[in-house]
Amino acid sequence: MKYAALAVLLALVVTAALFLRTDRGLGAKRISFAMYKWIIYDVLYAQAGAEFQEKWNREHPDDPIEVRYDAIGEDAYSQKITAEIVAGTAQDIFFPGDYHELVRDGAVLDLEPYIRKHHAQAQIDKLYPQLLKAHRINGHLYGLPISLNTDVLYYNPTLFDREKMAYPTADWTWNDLLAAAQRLTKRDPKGNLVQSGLMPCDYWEWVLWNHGRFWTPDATRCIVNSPESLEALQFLHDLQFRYRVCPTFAQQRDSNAEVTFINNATAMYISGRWSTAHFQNLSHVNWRIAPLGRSFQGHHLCMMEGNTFVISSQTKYPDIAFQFLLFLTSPEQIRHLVDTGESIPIHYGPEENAYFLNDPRRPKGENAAYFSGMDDATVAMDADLHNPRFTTAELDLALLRFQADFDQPDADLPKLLKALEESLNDIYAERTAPPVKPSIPAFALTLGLAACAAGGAIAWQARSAKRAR
Amino acid sequence: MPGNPIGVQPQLAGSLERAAAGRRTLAGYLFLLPNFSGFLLFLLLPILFSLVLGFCEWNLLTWPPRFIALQNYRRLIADINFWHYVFNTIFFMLGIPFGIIGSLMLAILLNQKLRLRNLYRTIFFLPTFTAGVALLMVWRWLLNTDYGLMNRCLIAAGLHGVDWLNRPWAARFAFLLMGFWTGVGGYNMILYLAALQNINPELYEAAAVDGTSWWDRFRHITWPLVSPTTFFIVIISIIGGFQSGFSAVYLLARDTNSQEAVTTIDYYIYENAYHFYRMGYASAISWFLFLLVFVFTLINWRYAGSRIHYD
Repeated sequence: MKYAALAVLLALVVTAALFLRTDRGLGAKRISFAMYKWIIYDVLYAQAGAEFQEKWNREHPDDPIEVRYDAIGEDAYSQKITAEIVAGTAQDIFFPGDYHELVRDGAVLDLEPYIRKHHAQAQIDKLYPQLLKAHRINGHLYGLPISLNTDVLYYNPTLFDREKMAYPTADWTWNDLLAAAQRLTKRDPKGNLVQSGLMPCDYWEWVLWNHGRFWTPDATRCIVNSPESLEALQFLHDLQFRYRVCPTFAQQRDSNAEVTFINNATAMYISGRWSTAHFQNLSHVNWRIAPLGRSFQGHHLCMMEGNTFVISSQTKYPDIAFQFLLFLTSPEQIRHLVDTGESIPIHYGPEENAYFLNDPRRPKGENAAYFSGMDDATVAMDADLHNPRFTTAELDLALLRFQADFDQPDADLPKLLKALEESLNDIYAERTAPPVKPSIPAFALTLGLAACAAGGAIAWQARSAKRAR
Repeated sequence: MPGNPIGVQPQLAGSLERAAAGRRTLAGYLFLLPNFSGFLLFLLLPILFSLVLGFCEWNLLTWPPRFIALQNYRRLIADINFWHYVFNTIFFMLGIPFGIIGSLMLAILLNQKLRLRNLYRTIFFLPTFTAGVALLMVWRWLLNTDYGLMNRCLIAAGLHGVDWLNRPWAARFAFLLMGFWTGVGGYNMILYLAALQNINPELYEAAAVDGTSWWDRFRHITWPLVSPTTFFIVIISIIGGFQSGFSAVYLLARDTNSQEAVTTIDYYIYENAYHFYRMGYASAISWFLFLLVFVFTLINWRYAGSRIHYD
């Protein structure tokens, strides 16, 4: 009996350990928020969390809170966030990997009632309307942008001066870009690349730059197989394989683009604001930025992309979470992010952006390059590239498949573009297919056949084993 | 009562004994309970749940999963990518016979009376207890286009370097090579070594007296007598081969031009489950994989099992 009691006790301890939750708050209300791990975010968000906690506890001494920031590794970020939602332990505020999907599945809060309740409309209205439009689903806002990036042309003035070339301007065309890249590309006597004229952006950005579109305005059909897309991709392919003024995507993977730019091995580099975060701390690096010029279709590329925070529908303290979200997206907090070089201001208007446009660390007016073409911008969360019915990973894989074939010298671009359009339309059709009515008799018949097959296989095996004996 | 010193009737004594035995059995089962609970919660239930999920559509976030009967299996049959990954998985398994032959040769070599024999055995077994991720990072360096050892050797031999991880077929061969390298040393070699040491040396002595060659001794003594081990290694390698590739693809080929060329069924399951959140489809693929392994193992038992010599 002693053994039995011991065994029951052991079983109870193990079972209790399985279900024990260790994250219960002790007194203060716990507000958690998460972002993917990025050294600048880690410092800034940990600090913002501490500031909000201190501010709140000062204003509400009888209702204290404890803010916890969780920096999650980028590789498994989406999986961890999803697992937390499924387990019922979602962070109160987090960066959503797949915004539309989480909204569709009811995993995040509709912010509209809280905007009204906390009279936050005035603060929200200061955000770029393009960004807000991309965040609205059926007229409702479910998340707030917390950073913004646009691509610009980083260039090395020293290398331009050495060739006695004029610096890039907003009026540059793709032909100007090619001519400059050709002059700035240097090879050794054996033909090895020692200085690359241009480090390009992703191929799909070239498509958007030339006014190609991935989706119809209502995002129900892929239309990437267009003359504009083909023209853009042919130009990029020629840059890589015909004129050889920029590395292929395979070569780019083997070398760090920013490092080659810092080491004067790349003359022009298309990148977002985040590169500034690295360059501005290196005094020996000579760099300037210019707006991206015009494509063959006369279009400027301005792709607005950034990060978003949402509030989990599992939060126990939606009002506090909303006020924290407002705090995180306030001009003061965003300014910290802008100063580090991780974002451009997310609030529009000359007054809001004056500190950025007159940044004393940069030549006067240079930062205006980030806003070039913004009136006609493509927003990354909008339908131009991403489709709300796709997961980001699904779209990335389809794009990667295309890139692998594109990265060959003899790539048949019209055929590849057609295949890309078909594959994206196939995924869309599958994602939006109406629910099938399961045929129970057919299902039962199949299961019966499968059982017979399994039974037959086992009998066959048993007979073989018997015969072998 | 004679023969019953404490005065208990035989029927009562029997029932008390049975009760005590029952309590002991119960205690035994209760001691097993923690382990059995773990097995039930973390193995059996998920397996059964995945079987049910194979007939459902579920993205983790919504509950309950939606029943779609055989849609996932229908989709699997029509999924070109899936068959492409089945091809990749089987292609990488082409390294298995070479790995088996290599490990047998290595075991025969290390079974000789060599100096520092134990040191060699340790060296060849080293990769088995080194973390897989660390090994893959070493391979990543070996295969690097610009400064990798493989290309350095090729260039030193007057050949051109190969973009191993960005060209589809180059990546396939690189993965095949990695599989071969993994298969040669490690457990297979140890199993063969154990099998070789179990062969009666008198058989070799008698054969030597008869003037047989090394090849004849290998063909007529060594090979038949290690056949149970070979059979075991073949079965385990085929099962392992079907389930392999995840870490190699994740660490070496993810987001590269060659990702598609080296993606295996294992990685595709992960991708569907945790990237695309198609838990139902991922479960269907898992069960298909189980079926594939089951059929291959049955065929092995049927055709290879009868050729095994246990004495």
